[in-house]
This record gives sequence, structure tokens and C-alpha cells, in this order.
Amino acid sequence: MHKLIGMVATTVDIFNNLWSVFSTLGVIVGIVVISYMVYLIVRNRARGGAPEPEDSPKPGELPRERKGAKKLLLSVFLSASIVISLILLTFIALDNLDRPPADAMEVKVVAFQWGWKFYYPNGYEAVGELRIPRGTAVKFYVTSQDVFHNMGIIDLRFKIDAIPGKTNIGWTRVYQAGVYEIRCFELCGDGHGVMIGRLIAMEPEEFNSWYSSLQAS
Amino acid sequence: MRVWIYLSVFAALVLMTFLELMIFAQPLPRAVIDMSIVGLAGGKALLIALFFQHLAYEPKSLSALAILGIASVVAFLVLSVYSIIGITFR
Amino acid sequence: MESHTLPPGSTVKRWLLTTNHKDVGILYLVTSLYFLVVGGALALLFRLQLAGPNLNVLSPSAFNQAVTVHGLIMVLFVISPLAFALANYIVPLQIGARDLAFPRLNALSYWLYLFGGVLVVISFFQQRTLDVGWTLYQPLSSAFSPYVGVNTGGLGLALLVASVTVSTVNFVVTIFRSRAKGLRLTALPMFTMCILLTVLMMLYAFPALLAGIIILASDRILGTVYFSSPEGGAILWDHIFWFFGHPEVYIVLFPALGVIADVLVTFSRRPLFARRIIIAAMVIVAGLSFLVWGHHMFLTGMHPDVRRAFTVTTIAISLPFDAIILSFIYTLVKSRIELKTPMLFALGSIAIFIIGGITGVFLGSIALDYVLRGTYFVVAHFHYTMAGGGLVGLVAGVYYWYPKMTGKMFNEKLGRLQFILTIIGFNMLYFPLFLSWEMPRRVPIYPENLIPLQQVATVGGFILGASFLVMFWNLLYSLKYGQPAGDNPWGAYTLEWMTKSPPPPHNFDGTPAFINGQLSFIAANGAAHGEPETHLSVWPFMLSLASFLSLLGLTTNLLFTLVGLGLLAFSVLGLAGERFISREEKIGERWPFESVDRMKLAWWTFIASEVMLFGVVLSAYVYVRTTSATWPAPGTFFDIAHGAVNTFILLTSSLTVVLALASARIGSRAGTAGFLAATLALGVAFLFNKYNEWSELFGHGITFSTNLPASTFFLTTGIHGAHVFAGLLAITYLLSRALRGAYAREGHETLEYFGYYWHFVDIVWVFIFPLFYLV
Repeated sequence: MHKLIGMVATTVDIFNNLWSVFSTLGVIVGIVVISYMVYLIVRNRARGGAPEPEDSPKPGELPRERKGAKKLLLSVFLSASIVISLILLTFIALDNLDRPPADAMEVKVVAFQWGWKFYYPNGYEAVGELRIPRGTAVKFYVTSQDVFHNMGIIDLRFKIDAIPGKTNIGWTRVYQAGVYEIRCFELCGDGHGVMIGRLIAMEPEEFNSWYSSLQAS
Repeated sequence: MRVWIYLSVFAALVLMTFLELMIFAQPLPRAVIDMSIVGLAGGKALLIALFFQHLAYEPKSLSALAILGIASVVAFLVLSVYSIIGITFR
Repeated sequence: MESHTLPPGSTVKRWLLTTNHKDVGILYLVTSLYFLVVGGALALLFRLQLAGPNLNVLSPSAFNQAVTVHGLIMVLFVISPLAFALANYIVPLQIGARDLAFPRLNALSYWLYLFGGVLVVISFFQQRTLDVGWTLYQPLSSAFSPYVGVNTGGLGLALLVASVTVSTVNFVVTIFRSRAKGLRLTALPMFTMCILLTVLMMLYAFPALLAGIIILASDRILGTVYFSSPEGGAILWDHIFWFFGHPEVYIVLFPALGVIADVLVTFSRRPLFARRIIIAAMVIVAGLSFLVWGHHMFLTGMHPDVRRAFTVTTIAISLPFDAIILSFIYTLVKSRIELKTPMLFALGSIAIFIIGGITGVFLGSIALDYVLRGTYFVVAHFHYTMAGGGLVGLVAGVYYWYPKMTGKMFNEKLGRLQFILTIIGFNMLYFPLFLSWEMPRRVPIYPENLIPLQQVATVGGFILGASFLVMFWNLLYSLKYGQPAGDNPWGAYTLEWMTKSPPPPHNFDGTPAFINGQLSFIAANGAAHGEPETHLSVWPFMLSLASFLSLLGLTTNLLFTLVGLGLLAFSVLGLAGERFISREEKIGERWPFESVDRMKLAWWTFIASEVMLFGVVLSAYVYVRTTSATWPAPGTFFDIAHGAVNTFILLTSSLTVVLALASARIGSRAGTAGFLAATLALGVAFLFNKYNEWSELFGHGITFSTNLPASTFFLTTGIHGAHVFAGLLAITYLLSRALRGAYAREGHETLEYFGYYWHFVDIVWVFIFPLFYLV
């Protein structure tokens, strides 16, 4: 749990920690509730001459009241406490997502129908492919030049809306060198499905020599 | 009959409209002018609803239908405008 | 054929002209199931495309069209109308009414719905229909979508909204005013209770959609720049759409909850657990549903305070749902459960909905939503809630009330077969989509590691489709060969079972009343007190046909529009002049509207929807002013003199309307006609001045598309002007009758009702004037 409180390094960690809590609780609650329902059904299924319950509603009546407020409120209180603790965890995670690391490299991203443009701090523009040094956080300033897109790097558990006229800020950090897919997660026209870019995380030395060669040119 | 009520409400409406126009021309801070003018508009709307649409004489449940609508609009207005405060576009 | 008896069900005339709520219910049922086939076929098309990672069954554009129209049809043309099929048939029976409060308006709702659907279908044949996602995000569906089919589809939605507005008014008035004596609001059967809450949500949610569609249509057709400007753009649309869209989720769901509650009680033979708490929880959900829409926009970068507020409301709304579902389950404690088909579907729907609800909590958590947004997880979640909770729950209702509607019992074995196929197909289709949570929605290709999941889903889709074929077969087969069902085959306790199956046109022989909590029929009704009621009218159909032609012409050939408008005028006059008898029972439970007659209640319900419409349009204006860095100073762009003159004109016209009413009350024919004529003249003067103002602006080169100040001005005052114009048409009609002596002797209420509308239009101007000219 310490990872959830202030020590988080990557967007992947933030998401995975929260996801495991939610999915574990979700599966347990789902199984318990549905099993209980099935149990009640099997147990109370009418067989042969099973007697009619005493308070069964009779034709032409107004609805009968059946007590149970206490039991119900208790159950709701129980689930409320689960849900509220989930929300507190969410707010902690959100705080971390909202606070980009100070050492982040800043990249401007412009989405278009149907691709991605990246602008490095030195003004270099790349289309479709973003190179970053692994281990360094990247802070994205994301906008769109035409319609509503969403920039998502699902392997990094990173996502942000790209909205024309508005710049949104997000960050991620990747430790593992490699290629990560950048995809659009908001329907943006015919090419939505193929609006795919690449994030290439390089060894820092490699990146530096590549990046400085840009400056030289 | 209620004719004299109608006439006096009408007189008040006309008067309040002139007041709006007068306030508009005063050398006051913009915010004060805007708020007074919109406030006067709200007052005029209320007068019309109460005395021309006769809501003053109807059960409150009838007004509730419109009030729930106004409340929803206010929620919509406040939350949607608040959501973009401090954000620059373009 | 007299219009108070119904022609036999085998004739076309019966189904074209009927205004009886049960017939209209059947029409809704058949039509919504037809659209279920359309929406389902579209779904199977794109499931076929997704049967492999890189297939070419559909082009990307065709794929987007299929996905978009599938969504729109299923949400707006299938689930809700299916719910209102049941509501039409059952609600009047459950409350002991003879029909809905306004039978002709009810038929009108149906035909507007049908023709709206027809427009959407027609749009398929105009090269491209809506292909921008059912959420119609901006600016993709305005500036970036030039296709005419999108316009036609959008106009189809506008007709649907008209239909919804009419039926909302009708159901609100019916449930408040037509309850049997002794049937207090809190004692309503759960289905009717849920329909009441549904229509109240519809009342305040759908006008926002209408406002959105009007602004969108104006952007597309007139060239205003609401959504193509970044200051309005994507986020303004998001707010408007989801302000409608989130209540819409519960609008789709609530009727099914009502069905489930009634079915549970009937087949478990026990009263609903903590019924009053369920009702309270539902009221809370209905209210809160208007405060949660922002969770659809968590990633748009909204103000942190607002984001936090929406998180809290979103999580808060899960708690009353908790109470509702747990009460349903606790109802089964110490019960005697008969697992007949309706009960199976009700229980199945609850189980599915539980999964949908739990995954909803995931999406309510912003930090998770950041990653799950726009993926198949969302798709799976809302199908578990809307299709599982909504549609499957309503299927329970179709089976439950089938014996009442037809007098025949369906085939139980086939019913169970469908249940098994539905549950298996549903979960095979949608559960793998949770597991595909890394995949973006609305994408026709996917990586190879998802092949097994997507293929299982496709197979599941076809099984789910087949399960509905079994249902159609069952419903048709049993209509002919089913065993006679009897009046109350399930031993249920609610009022709809206390009459014949199917019920006679007037529903009950005698007036039902609950005296000391027990049903009795207190007097013979029907022909006994006066003229028999009318059950036939041609005008609802004609009016809808006319609206359809008018709109169709806008995107095809303007000739249709001309014919349509002519027919529209003719039909409105026909409707207004028709002698149609529909009586309210003399006794009944009418809290809290005992002293408000049904026309008055109807007018105020309608005015409430208009409040929302203008409220949202004016909010959009305030919104873009807030986001715009610069705005012309007051008095520089629009001429204050025009606005001020029009203000005095409209205020005076409001005075003349009340004076016309006052004259009518004291029996003065001359006064009534004179003041109405004055109102007409003032209205014409208003529009004339407006015409001059617009001409001047156009003369200065300021048009719809100049900039946001111009766009908002023209559209807002344009919508208002259209309302003035409609009012003038009404005044012309009133005046022509007043000149022949109407209203001064009797019927002066009509002037009062007209006044509600006219004064409302005045009130709107009272706000437009300062907001656009002075502030």
C-alpha cells in the first residue's frame, strides 16, 4: 500500500494498484451478492404443496408494507463504507496523477485526422513517432487541430483528451526501453481505427546523442 | 375583477424596464450594472409568472413543475460554466 | 362506424385511427420490436466485422455508421419505446383509469416516434447516415461531417424528441390526475411508480437534447459557429449532451426496475421488501441523475472542484441503487418462488445488472476512468446496465403482461428456452468485452491476442439474436394457438389483473376505487353517464405524416416541405375542430393536483419543458461568453433601441392577453375579440421590428456565421421568434373563434391556457433583452 501514498513512480503503478483493489473487491462483492440471490432462489423455490407465505399480497389490495428498513440500511451502510474507502484511494491516486514530476521532459502533442504531431522542447517536429529517454518522466501538452481525439498509451496506462482549442496536460514515465502504441480513444472519423502512433523509449545515452544531432542540424 | 392588478403589474414591468435602461447608462462598475439588470429581469419574470400566469393563485405543486426546471437549469449553468473557469481557449 | 366503438383488429383503419391506450401500446410494442431487429441486425453486422482481427466485412465508414445507428436506435427507438409500449397498455389499468388523459396526443406520440424512426432509416439511403457515434461529439458531427444523411438522421431524432415531449406531458397528467379513489401516490404499483419517475426525468432531460439538436442543426444547416469555435466546441456539446445523456440512462432503466419489482412480488408471493425505502431511493436517484453528467467528461480537463463534485455525486448515486437491488434480493427471503418465464427474466436481469452496477463504480473512480475511458470496458458496462438491466428486464414485462394483452398464455417451454439462450448469449457477448478493456471502442480492427475474446463475443451475439427470434415465434405462435389465459393467470394483486384479458376499450366495468385499502367497483360507468367516449381520430397520424414530410423535404426536395407544411396546418385545424370525447372520472385520487384540471396541468408540464429548452439555450450563450476572451461591448454590436422597443411591445401584448381573458370572464365579446386583435397586432409588430433588425445586421455583413456573438444572437432570438410566430398562429385561430362569439360565454379557460404560453414567451424575452443587449 505504501506505493499508493506518495511514492508512486509511474502511471502504470498508480493504475495497477487501484485496479487490483477495485477488481478484487468487485469480484468478491459480485460473487457474494449473486450467490446469495441464487441461494435464496434455490431454497425458496415452490415445490409441490409448499404453503403460501402468510403475508402474500391478495388480488385487489393496496401494496402491503414489509419491514426491513434496519437490515437494508445496515447493508447500504456496509457498501457505503466500501465505496467511500474506494473513493479515498481514488483521490490519493488522482493527486499523484495531477502532479507531474518536476524533472519531466515537456512535449507538445497535436492530434489530427488521423495521426499525431509531436513538438520537442527544441522545436523539432515529428509526425507519428515520439522518442523519449527511458526513466525520465514526460509531460504532454495535448491539443487537436481538428476534431475531438483522445491520446492513449494503454500499456503505460496513460490517456488524455485532445480537444481543439484547448490544451490538456498529462504525464507518464516509462522504465522499460521499447516501442509503445499511441492510439486514439475517441471516435474521430473514418481513420479512427488506424490513428496509431509510436512512443519509442530509448536508452538515455542513445536518446541524448539522437536529440543533440537534431539540435546540430 | 383583477383588472387593476393587471394594470399595476404592467406599470411595474414598464417601470422596471426603464430602470434597466437607466442603470445601463450609469457610470457604475460593470459587475454592479450587470447584476442589477439581470436581477431586475428576474423580478419582472416573477411578476409575470405570479400575476399574468396566475401562479400566485394556484397550488404550489403547479409552480413546482417550473421551479424544478429552473433548478435543473441553474445546476446545468453553474456546473458547466464553473468547469471551464480559468481555462483559455484557442 | 361510430367513433366511440373500435373497428375490428383485422382492419387497417383500426390501427391507423385508434387512440385507445391499449391499441397504442400494441403499436409501440410491435414497432419497438421491429427496431430491435434493425438495431440488432446492425450489431450483428459489426460483430461479423469483429469476428477476425483484420476483416473487411464493413468499410471503416460503414462500420462507424453501423455502430452509431445501432446505439441511437437501441437507446432511443427500442428500449424506451418498448418500456412505453408496456406503460401505455398497463399504466392506465394499474391506476384504474379509462385511458390516458389525452388519447389523441398519445396516438400522436406513437406516430411521431414511428416517423422519426423512418427518417433515421431513410438516412441510410442518402450515401451516409450518422457515422459520428451516438454521442454526436463535436466538432466531428458539425464542421467535419458534410453528409446530408447526418441531417436526415438528426431530424429523425428531433421528431423522436417531439414524441417524447408529448407523451411525457400525457403520462404526467394521467398518473397525477386519473388514479382510482384511494390509490395514493405512495401506493402506486411499482411499475407505474417507476414510469412516473421516468417521465419526470424525461420532462427535464429531453429538452436539453432538443436544445442540442437545434443548435447542431443550426450549425449544420444555417452555418452558426457554436461547435466549430473552440470557445463553444467540443466541451459545450459534452455538457449539453451528457446533461441529457446521464438521466437518459436511468430513463432507460427505471421502467425495467418497475417491471422487475412487480414480477418479483407476483412470483415470490411476498410483499416487496422495504417498499417505501425503495421508492425513496428511486426518487433520490431521479434527482441526483441531473447532477452526475460530468463523469462522462473526466478527461476533458475540467476545473478540479467540478471534477471532485461530480465524483462525489457519481459515487453517491450508487448507494440508492444498492438499496434498490438489495431490497429486490431480500424480497426473496422466506418466499415461495415460482420460476415462470417472467420471473426468470426478472431474476436474470437483476443478476446482470449487479455486474453492470459494480463495474459502474470502477468507472466512477476518476483514476480508473482515466484508463478505461473509450475502451471496451465502457461498452461492456453500459450493455450490462442498459441492455441487461433495461432490455432484459422489459422482456420480463412482455411475458408477464402478454396474457393480459392477448388473453392467451405463451408457451412456457419456449419462454424458458429463450431465457437460457438470452443469458448464455448475453454473457458470451458482453463479458469478453470487459476482458478486452485495453481495446479502443468503435474500431474495426484489433491485435491478434484479442481474437479468442472477440470471437466468443461474436458467437454470443448471434445466440442473443437467436433468443429474440425464439421470443417472436413464441409471441406469434401463442397468439393463435396459446391456451386461454384467464383474467389473472399469475394470481397477481395489482389492478390490471382485475379486469378481462384483454380488457374492454373502457378497461373496467364500473369505476374502480380502493375503499379502506380494498378494491371495489363503485358504479357502472361507460355509456351510463353521458355520451360515449371517442376512440378514433385521423389527425394524430396526419399531423405526424405532415411533420415527417416537412422535415424530409429539408434534406431531399423542398416540395415535400411545402406539402408537409400545408398538411400540418390542415391537420392542426382538424385536430382543434374535432369533436373528441374523453372524460375524467368524477372521483379519484389526485394529490397534489386536486384543484388543477388536466388541461392546466398539461400546459404547465409543457411550459416546464420549455423552461428547460430555453434554459439550456441561454446557458449555452452564457457559457460561450465565459470562454470567449473578447466580446463586443453592449450597445456596440446590437442596437439597444430595437431590443427596448420589442420589450415594450411584448410586455404590452402580455397585458392585452390578460385583458382579453378578463373581458371573456365578464362576457364581453367585443372586449375579448378586441384585446386578442390588439395582441395579434403587437405580435406582428414585434416580428416586423425583428425583421428590420435582422435586415440591418445582414446589411452590415453580420450573418449567422460571422462569429459567436452573432451566432448566439441569431439562434437564440430566432428560436424565440419562432415561438412568437407559433403564438401568432394560435392567436389568429382564437381571434377567428372569438369574433364568432366564443370564449365570452364559456370556454374562457382556453384563453388562460394560451396565456401561459404567451406570457412564458414574454418571460424568455425579459431575459434575452438584458442578456444580449445590455450586459
